[in-house]
Amino acid sequence: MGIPNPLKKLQDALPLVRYPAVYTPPIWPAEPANIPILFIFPPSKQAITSLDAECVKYQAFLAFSNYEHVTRECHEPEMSPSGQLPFLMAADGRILTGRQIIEEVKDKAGDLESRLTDAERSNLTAFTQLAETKLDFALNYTFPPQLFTMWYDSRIRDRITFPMYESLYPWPLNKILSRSLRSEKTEWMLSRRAVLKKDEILDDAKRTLAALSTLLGSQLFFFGSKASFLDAVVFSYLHIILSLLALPSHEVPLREAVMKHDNLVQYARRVFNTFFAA
Amino acid sequence: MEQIPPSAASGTDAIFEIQRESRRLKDLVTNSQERALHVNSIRIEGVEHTRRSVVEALVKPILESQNLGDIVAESREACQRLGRLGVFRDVGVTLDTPTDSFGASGELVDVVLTVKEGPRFYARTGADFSNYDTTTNVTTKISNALGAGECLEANASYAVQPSVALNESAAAFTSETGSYFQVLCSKPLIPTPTFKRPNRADPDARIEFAAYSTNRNMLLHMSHEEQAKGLAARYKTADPYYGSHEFAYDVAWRHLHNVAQDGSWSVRQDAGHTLKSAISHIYSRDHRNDPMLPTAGSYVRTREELSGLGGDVKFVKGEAEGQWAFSLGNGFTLATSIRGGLVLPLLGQRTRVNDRFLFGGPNSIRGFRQSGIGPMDKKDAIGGDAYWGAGLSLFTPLPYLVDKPMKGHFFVNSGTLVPINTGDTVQQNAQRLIASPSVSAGLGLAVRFSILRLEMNYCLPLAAGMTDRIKPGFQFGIGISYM
Amino acid sequence: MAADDRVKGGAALELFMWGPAYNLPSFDPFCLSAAAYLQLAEVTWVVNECNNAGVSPRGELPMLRDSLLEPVVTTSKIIAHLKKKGYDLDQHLSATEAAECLAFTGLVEDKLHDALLFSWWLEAKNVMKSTRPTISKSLRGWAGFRVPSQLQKKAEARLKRYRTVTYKGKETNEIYVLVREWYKALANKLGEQPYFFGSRPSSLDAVVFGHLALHCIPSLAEPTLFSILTFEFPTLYAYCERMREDLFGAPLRASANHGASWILGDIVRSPMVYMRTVFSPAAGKKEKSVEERRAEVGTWMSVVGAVGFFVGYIFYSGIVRIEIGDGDGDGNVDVDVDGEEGGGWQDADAHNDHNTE
Repeated sequence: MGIPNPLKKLQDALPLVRYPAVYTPPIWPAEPANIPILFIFPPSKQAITSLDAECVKYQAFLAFSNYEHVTRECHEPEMSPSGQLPFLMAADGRILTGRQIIEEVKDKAGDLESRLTDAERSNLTAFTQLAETKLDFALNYTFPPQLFTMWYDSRIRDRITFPMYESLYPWPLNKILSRSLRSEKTEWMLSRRAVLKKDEILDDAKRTLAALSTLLGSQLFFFGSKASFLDAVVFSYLHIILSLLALPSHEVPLREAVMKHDNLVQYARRVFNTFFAA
Repeated sequence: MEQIPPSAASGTDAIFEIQRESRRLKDLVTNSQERALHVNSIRIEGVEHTRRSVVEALVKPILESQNLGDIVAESREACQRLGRLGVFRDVGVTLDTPTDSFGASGELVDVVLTVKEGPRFYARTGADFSNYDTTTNVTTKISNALGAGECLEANASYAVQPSVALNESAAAFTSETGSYFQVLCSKPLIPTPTFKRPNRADPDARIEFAAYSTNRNMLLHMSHEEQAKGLAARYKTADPYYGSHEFAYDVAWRHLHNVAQDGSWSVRQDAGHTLKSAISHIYSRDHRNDPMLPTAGSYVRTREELSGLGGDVKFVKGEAEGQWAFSLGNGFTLATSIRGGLVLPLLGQRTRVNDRFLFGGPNSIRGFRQSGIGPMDKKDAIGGDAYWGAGLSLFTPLPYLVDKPMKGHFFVNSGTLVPINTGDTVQQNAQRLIASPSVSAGLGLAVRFSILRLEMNYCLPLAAGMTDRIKPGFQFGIGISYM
Repeated sequence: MAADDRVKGGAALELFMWGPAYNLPSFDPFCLSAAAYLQLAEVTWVVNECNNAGVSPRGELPMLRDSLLEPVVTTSKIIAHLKKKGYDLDQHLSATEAAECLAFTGLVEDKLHDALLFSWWLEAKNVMKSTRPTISKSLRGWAGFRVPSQLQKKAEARLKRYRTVTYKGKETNEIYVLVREWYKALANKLGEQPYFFGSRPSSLDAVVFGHLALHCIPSLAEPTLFSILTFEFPTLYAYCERMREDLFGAPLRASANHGASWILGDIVRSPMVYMRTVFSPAAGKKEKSVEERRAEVGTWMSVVGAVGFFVGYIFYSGIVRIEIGDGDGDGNVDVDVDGEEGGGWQDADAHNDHNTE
């Protein structure tokens, strides 16, 4: 749009005064070190690992890769660009989730999987997906990353879920959110399986655990002496199942299924002691 | 109080005749005010769905009248009270000679109240244009639901962002939408009247319960969406002279979500669910002769809010606004307005992005983009904790359009919006508040459209913060409240 | 013992599956996998093309009917059942290979299926021009309208978590980046061998073929998966083409039960099941927990209660009567272009007419 001439003259005659900004947003991650921050769902008291399997997975992967970072607690999945925890704030302030985290870590701290053969890489992909789908499903069904089981197992609900999640939001928001979260999860589960049957889900988990146990054998990690992303995935589920589902006087079938595989139990303990115990 | 039926005013003679007649009646009424007269009975005609007990309670004081003057005055009061119930479309009074009286007929009179109830069911669809979006809305209303003026109302509106992106950086979000839904129950509270009490002592009051759900898309100047579901209870009093008060309790579940990929950390860290439980008070007094383009009068509004009675959002908030218009003669009007606000977090919390103030734009400081003043993080206007703004406008008549609601407009606006750092002293924070006022000036046209004001201005920002988003040149404004 | 079963049950095996499309016996990868397994194991079987999943007690297909036994539903259970009957393709696998077989089967059935669903039901062009019309044509009667929408809805719910990312400078869905990784794992696993585990077929071959065959359809409006396979993973593509020729080169034997009148056939076979599918589109969800059902009943009760209360109130207070009876043309419904509320209670002014004698 053409500006009328007198107005243009007026505009030139009255130069704009610029003040310094009233507010300078703090630089993240904090100066001077600019250490990347991994935001995870809060751990239980005196624990290092998050209560959420997905978060433990990335905690483990970052630990395996020796990627320098700090962790911060966060219970709002909406803060993450993908709507899911965890997310990583890289040294330059970018916010990364999921595969972007893996790429960033590989880029900065070296690729753990560079020495693998093609066949091993194939197996890595296949077994990672297997663990991520079947174990995740079983864990979701018997124990929830997000308040889910409370509708399925009253003892788990009273001992773990309530103390863990109900304090995050004020009443009555915690009740409303837990309900909506639960129906969301159910909808997602039903989109992947036409029928939700406890036995079938557990059977799938059992076969997966058996396959993982076979693949691991007596090795230190799944692919020899060095950890890979598959180790992070399997460790996260095993650790959550073994530590959180350990209820006195109450047998959780999923935990029993893990306990049957001695090498997996030993493996989970060893990884925890090496990378997480202070 | 005399009302001349328009049909009668057919000729000049008739008008004179009527005026003479009415003067005669007036004299008669004035002269006979002291005449002792008692009410024999009150008859109410035309009540269909309103509870009789409600109507009776409102008209009862007429019975205590001792003379004609009182009867007339009390009847008038009763009519006003009935009108305030919001149920009747027409209320009329007739005095009649009783037919079945036992006493002397000359001293007794029947009061006949003729009322006509308005429609009980009401629906409306419409379209609104506000600053940055068009809104379609639907309202349905059931009035007088339980027979005492209760009102049941449901509103729904849906906003669509026009495809013309007014802010270049928001060009990607042309399908921006918002929605609003509300169910409202309200009831007038009219105090039981007594004889000879001045009307002003019992102002109109109304109690309201509402459940609402809103979804606001903030992508125009921030990078998220906000959903809120809530319940509110309000007590309102209205007095045209002393101003109206509203006391409210509001509990809202807010969900800040869908933060854009490149959204700033300041917005991102506030994402998620919060529960706000707050009490608030609003006082407003409007003495302007026209709320959109006043030529005289003043307007004052204050609002205080305390959040933190349960829930996890704790703050105290105050806002004030004042407007004064002076007629300078010959159609020239000078209007001044000031406003300010402050929000302080309580109990060691920090303020959230959805509780802070936004400032700037065609309705506040012209010459800046919507919410273009104050703290910014990346491309997001993240809001500030304290602000003030002042404006001076001169409205001039336009040639050939003197009697139209259209004026020439010269203005100077100034204001600032800053964050409050609770670590600093009061002086430091106050210093920040006055250190860098954004200023703009300009001229244009202002037009009143029923309940809206439209402005088309050429704006020239004169002073601005480094991060402020200025918009020199032509700016189009539309809205209800202006500075 | 296994041999005996084979003789006895051989001719009675009947596979219920979704109908043919794209030159393949079924448009559903799971049905196709089961059919491929039957073919690879050289079982004598007949095919029964279904119009709705309601014939199966779980609301899912494929379903295998073995003489008078309880029907077996889902691919993995059908394979397990056939293995028990002596048709075991995985006998020659070592323990590690069996574990790998399970892992790759999971990869294909969970992840590659996501990619297929995405390309079929979330690519608007494909939905409009290819998948919807093709599947409608494959089904008969009104199932042709109903089933595609159901499939699309389910796919949308399932694929919610995949986001848009930038890949090689272009905006694309995450799934097309991931699918390359998955294809690569499969291609590496296959190598130059005729089958995934050497020279003899295994259950993995049936599963991979069942899914990948549907990825290699060149006639889609947006054949992204086809082009990735042919250009980047030619061995997988060649494998699929070869398997298709080997397994489904000759026409399949249709079931004698399958008459011309399919609706009648469905009803006669199991009237209850038929009614159930007709009246509950969510037949698959029926096995819910008690709490869930209770919650659902509660929700419905409250909705019915609320509506009932509202309607009752309206009749009670005579609002409806007024609406109809009020014929004085005052316009109860007015259309307005402003947003201000009527504000009736504040400015309802009372007209006072005084008549004195």
